[in-house]
This record gives sequence, C-alpha cells and structure tokens, in this order.
Amino acid sequence: MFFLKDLKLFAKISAVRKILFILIFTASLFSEAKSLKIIDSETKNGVPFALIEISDLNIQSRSDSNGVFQLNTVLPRNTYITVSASGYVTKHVVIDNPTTDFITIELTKSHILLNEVIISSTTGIVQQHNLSNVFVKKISNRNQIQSANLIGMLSTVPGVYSVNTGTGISKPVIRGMSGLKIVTYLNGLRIENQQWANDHGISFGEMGIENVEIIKGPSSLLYGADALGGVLYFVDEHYTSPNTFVSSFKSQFETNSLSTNNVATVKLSSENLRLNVYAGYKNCADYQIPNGSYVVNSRYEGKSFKTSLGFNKQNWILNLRYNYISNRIGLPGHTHEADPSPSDFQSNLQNRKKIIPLQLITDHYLSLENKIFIKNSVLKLQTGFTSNDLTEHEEKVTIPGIKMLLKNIPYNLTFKSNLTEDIKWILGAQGMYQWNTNDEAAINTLIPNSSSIDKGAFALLHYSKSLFEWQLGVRYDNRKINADNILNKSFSKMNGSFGIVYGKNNYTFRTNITSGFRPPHLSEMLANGVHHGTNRYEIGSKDLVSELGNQFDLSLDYNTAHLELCINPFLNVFKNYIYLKPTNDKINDYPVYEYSQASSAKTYGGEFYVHYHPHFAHRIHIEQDVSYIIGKDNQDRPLPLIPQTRINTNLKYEFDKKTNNKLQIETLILQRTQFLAKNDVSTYESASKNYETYNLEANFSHEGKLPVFLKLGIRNLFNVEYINHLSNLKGIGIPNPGINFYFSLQFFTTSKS
Amino acid sequence: MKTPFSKLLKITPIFGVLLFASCQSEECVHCHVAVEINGTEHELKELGEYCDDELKDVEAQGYSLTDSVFVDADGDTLPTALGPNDAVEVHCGEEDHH
Repeated sequence: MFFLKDLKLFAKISAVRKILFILIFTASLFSEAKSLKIIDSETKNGVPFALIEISDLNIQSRSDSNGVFQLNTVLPRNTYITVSASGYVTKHVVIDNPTTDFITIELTKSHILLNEVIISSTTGIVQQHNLSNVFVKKISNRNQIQSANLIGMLSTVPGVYSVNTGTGISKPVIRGMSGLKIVTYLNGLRIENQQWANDHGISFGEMGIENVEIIKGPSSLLYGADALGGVLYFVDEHYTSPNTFVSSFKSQFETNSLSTNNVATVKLSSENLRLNVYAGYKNCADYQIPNGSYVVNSRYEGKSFKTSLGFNKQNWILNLRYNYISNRIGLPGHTHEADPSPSDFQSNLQNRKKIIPLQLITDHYLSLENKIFIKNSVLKLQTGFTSNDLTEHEEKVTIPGIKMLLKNIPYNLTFKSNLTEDIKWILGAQGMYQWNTNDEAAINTLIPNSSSIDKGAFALLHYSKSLFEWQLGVRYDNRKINADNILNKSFSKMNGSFGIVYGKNNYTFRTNITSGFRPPHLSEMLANGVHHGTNRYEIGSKDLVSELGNQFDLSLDYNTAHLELCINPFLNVFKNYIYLKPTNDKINDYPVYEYSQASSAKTYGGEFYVHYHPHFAHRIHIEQDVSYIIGKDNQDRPLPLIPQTRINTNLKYEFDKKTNNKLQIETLILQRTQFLAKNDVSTYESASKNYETYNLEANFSHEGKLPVFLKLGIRNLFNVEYINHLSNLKGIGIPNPGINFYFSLQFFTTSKS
Repeated sequence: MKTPFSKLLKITPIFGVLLFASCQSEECVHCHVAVEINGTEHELKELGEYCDDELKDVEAQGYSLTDSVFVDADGDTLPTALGPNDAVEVHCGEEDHH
C-alpha cells in the first residue's frame, strides 16, 4: 500500500525531490549502525571478547574488552548476526533497520552451552529449526582429535563413514550410500571428480574449511539429481574483520607415515574488500601396519592453493573464490604374482618416492557468488567452473592407462523471501553443463567422451508458528546425456519433501519425508574394460533406468544445560537400485563385475547420540554415539558395502584458562571407537571382525604477542591390527594403520590499522 | 599507516617459496625386462636408470630378446625357456620391495 501511494505522489513532485526520494528509499535498504555493543543481560556490563559472526558477509571477529565491535562496513538489511561468548547462551539476531549508532545485543548467562546456534548455509535457517536432517560438523574446531584427512574427520559424525584405499584416498559414506549417490558442494559450487569409481576420492583437504553441513538421505529438493544418499556442503573459513591483517602458519607431522603437512594463511580486510589466501603442501611415505611392515605404494603428495575475495557495497555482496589442487597418489595392492598373499604388498622399507601404479589429479574450482538484498528478500546468483584432470599410470611411467578431463559449469539462482513474520519461501533454478573427454595418449578408455545438461527448478515453503514449524517443497529435474553418438538419453523426475518440527520446553521432535532420484551414470551404462585402480573388469548396461529413493526420518532431541540426547531412526526405500555385482567370470585374469539393477532395496537403522556434562564436574564432557545400518535388496539379501555398527565414545576435560604469558593446556581428549562384527554380508563379500581403537590427544595454547597452538596426540594407541569392512584393501588382507604419534604447531599474527 | 593490502606484498614471498618448492625435477626411474609365465612375473634383466625422453622411448619401443634365455635375473631356472620370438615387457618405475 505504502509503495503504491508513493508512486502516485512521485509523479507529481519536482525532479530534485524525486532524486532525494530515490536516495532515501535506497538508503532504507541497508543498515547504517556504526558499532555493535555486546552486554550482559543482568548487569548491563560489556561482554569482553565476544565472538561475532556476520554470516552474509562471511566475517568473524571479536568485540574489544568493553564488548564493543566496530563495524567499519555497511550491513545489508535483514542480515544475520551470531554472537557467542564463554559462559553465555549464543544469540542469533536479525539486524533490520537501526536508527542509532550502536546496536545493542544482550547475552544471557548460561552455566554451559552444549548446543551451538548455527545458521545453515544451505537454507539460511537456524540449524535447530531445519526440517531436513542436517548435521553441522565444525572442521576448524582445534579441540578435536586430528584425523588423517578431511573425510576421516567426518567419520566421527553419526551415520557417516568412509571408504578408504590406504590413507591417500577417502570417500564419504552416508547411511551406507557412497560414490555417485553422494553430492559434494564447496561454498555452493558442485564438485564433480569422477566419483563413480571407488578409488576416486575427494581431492581437497581441510585447508581453509570452516565447517561442513551433512544432509543424510535423499535431498533432491535443494540439491538436484544424484543426491540420493545425501549431501556434503563444505563452507570456507570466515574473512577477518575490517582493517585487520591476520596470518598464520601450521605445521603437522605424523610418525606412522612420516607425513608432513604445512599450511600458510593470510587474511586481510578493508571496509568493503576482504581477502583470504592459503597455500599448503603435504607429503606422506608408505604407512606402517601393526606388524611393523609398510604397505608398498600407499604414499602420496599434495599441493594446494586457495583464495577468496569478498566485496560488499550497500545491498550487494560478491564472493569470488578459486581453488587449485594437485595430488599424486600411490595405488597399493599392485602385484605380478598369480596367487598373491598379503606379504606381497608389504615391505620392510618405508619409501615415499614416486612409483607406479599411481593417480595424478589436478583440480581447478572457480566460483562467483552474488547476493542482492531487496527489502525482506535475498536474491542469490551463483555460477562457476570446475575441472578435474584424472590420470592413472598402471603399467607405464610415461604412457597413462586412463586419462580423462571432466569439466563442469554449474549455476544456481535462488530467491528467498519472508512473506510474513511466519512464512518464508524459496524459489530456485539450478543446472549444469558437464563434458568429459579422454586423452588419445591413454592406453584404455573406460568410459567414452560425453556431455550432459542438467536443468531443475524448485519451490519451498516454510511456516513457523508458536511451537510448530513445517516445510513443504517440490522440484522438477531433467538430465540429457550424450556419449560420442553411442548413447543419447534423457531422464526426468518430480521430487518433493515435507517435514514438521515441534519444540516445547527441552524437547524437539522432527519428522520428514523426502525423495530423490539419480539417473544412471555413463560408467554404469557403458563401462567395458579393466579399471586397474580397483583390479576389476567392469561391464555396464545401457538398459539401466533412474534410481528413485524415499526416506522417512524421525528424530527426538532433548536438551538441557547438562544433557543433550538425540534418537534418530530412519527408513530409506529405493526403486531400481543400481549396484556392482561380482560374477564368477574372469577376463584377462581380472574378476568380472557387472552393473545391475534390483527392482527395490531398502536401508534402515538409526543414530543415537548423548552428550553429558556433569554439574558436579563441569570441566568434563562425555559423548557417545551409535550408528546402525541394515541394507537389503528385493529378495531380502544383504546389500554390499553396508558399514559395520559403530560406537564412538569421547571423554574430554577442559582446563581452566589462566591469563598469563605461558604455554598452558586447554583440553585432554580420550576417544574410543568400536566397530561391531559384520556377518550379514552380500554374495562374494566376506565378513568383518569386531575391533576397537583408542586415540588420545592434548591441546595447548599460548596467548601473547605471537599466539601459538600446539597439539600432541596418539592414534591407535594400542597398535590394534584391524581391517575395516569398507576398506578397499580388505580383499588383499592389508590392515589399516598401526600406532601413530602426531603433533601440530600453529602460530598467528594479527594487526589492525 | 600501512594498509592491509600493502602488508600482502611482504608475505607474497612465502607463497612464492611454496609454489617454487613444487617445481618438478628430472624424472629418472629404474627399468627391467620381465616376462609373465603361468600368471607369475619373472624378472629377466636389469636395464638400469632411464630419464625423460629416453624413458619414453624405452617404454614405447619395448625390448626384444636376441638369444635364448633359461634363467631369470637371480639365476633361477625359468619354468619355460624363452627364445628371440617370445614377447617380453619393459617395466619401469616399480619398487623392489623384497
């Protein structure tokens, strides 16, 4: 109404007044407050060094000793700010249109905060209110057990596992689903890296990653085709606050594989421009197993470079990001023996020199993100480019066995709007153009040259009132695949999602039903040759149709100051389930596997999580989670590669931090992981034994002119010999790594201008 | 007053060092002649170290036996004797782990 009245008036007034009107109207779209003041809600005193996160600008910084934070930049309207401080409940506010120079935010004292308030990067909704099953894992949290790689860190999340080929190659598994059924995003850019093969892992590491959102189960509504098993949505670290320069250097060493990992970081910001730059280098020799031998050619080397540039002007935010990753990864399990034994893959000598067979992977990721704030709405347009150059040298050093270049141009357009205080809606359109080419110099062509075009559109409605929230969404997708004129197919599907959240007192009850679909991949339709990385002859089928999935998910959360509890059962039902079936045949001495399709399959199980923080011993944290999955095909036979039941237990002690100029201990962590025996296995799959491992870690810090953080730890403390059910080296009897001592040292510099 | 971006110039050499550290050096590997008999590989002869273009050539051209061969590189008798017409392979860049 106000807007229409303005238009009528507008036609009558003079040019000068019209210009003034435009300026005032535009000015109403962004906030002009100069500072934030964080105060205690009872005493009204400033809260010193509170952590402030402005998610839309991707900035994270701290208030000063009086609780004041100078903004030094213009905030877009309706921007989210999260404020947290030790001893206080984390607060999440939306800054609308302040008229004062100060925006005051009051924090309420809390004995302990178990449940961090996080804004989901994917939906913009506070994570606890998300109707989808979203788990946020903070990668940048330095007080957690260090893992060998990024996917290893995710393996502590309930329902999430990893498929490993030694320590150099890791792929995520969500509720038993992996490979093409998991979609990975990095800052909204879809990552494509020939994930159809079991030995093609995620190539980027934890450098510069802040957190990852893990969506479990079919998620096609927001993420399109292929998201049948789940989604990993990685988010980069924040920029630093305006007019600040931060640098750091981190060096890690592990005894088991004599591995070194070095990362240099620079972050700087002016009022409207922000820049993060990272460079890293990692080198690992062959890893050692509990009997003292080394697994030949489990060595790897990686270089990476990453930069992101952020710019904001009034109601417009732009982020430009670039990643370069180059990895050389040895492929263990190679032998010329007709009937090899595990000792044929082991050596008494540890080496790191390059030998064949190996993988060479070079990735480039470029993304451009634009956000425009219009009154109560946000328009986001993101596009980018990814390139994955995968070369495998199997028998020749100078002649590749396979060499493929996969390029991808994705786009994502979303419009989020608050229709009323209770109703929010999101409209979106997504797609990508992808093409894969084989190098003629390669000996083998596993899949032919091809291209594909994806298009999709969706609508989502979110309603919240009193204790209830519900969400309803629908989506349509189409994919066209063309392969060197051998195959030309189109696949389409409608998908949907519905969920309800009910929260009262300390309880939150969440239920949702979601669907997803996955067209068959070229490798599944047209493979016909040896894949040396997995030592198999693979045969595809042109008759495969799209896989369909529906998940029914329930969760009950209970949260108090001292106890956090979550019970989360699920049921996934699939139609046209595609899997790789071993046969009795051999071609050129390689076992033959055929891509097959079961009319139906299901996975079901649940996750249980408890976090107890005793009142009488408030420095102790006890956490335990249990993950349980069963997979059956349409004849009630076990599906292959379903993980073992896992029990994780964490005991953490937080030491009192003193304000002195000395190195002091921050945390001491003991972790126990148990995998139960797995005897319900598919045909040609072997059972796996029960085992348990222990990890121990101590973290130290020194706050001074040059802050330092030191980590000392031991993984597999008792040198237990075990082979995980999902290990790609299980078939040749090669265990996972033995005892491993590690340390990491990181120091920082900060200066303000 | 130094601006944040002027400080970037000071630390650029760090990244330069890291990038230069990644430069490739000359690639040299050991090669040997091998044959597969009844599913088992037998090493016949050590060819020595080859680098760059010579390495490319020896892998592309392969190796031909000029005389009959009865024993492997360790002096053990082969299951089957080999003659000048028998196919053998050149293997490079593999580690001797025994």
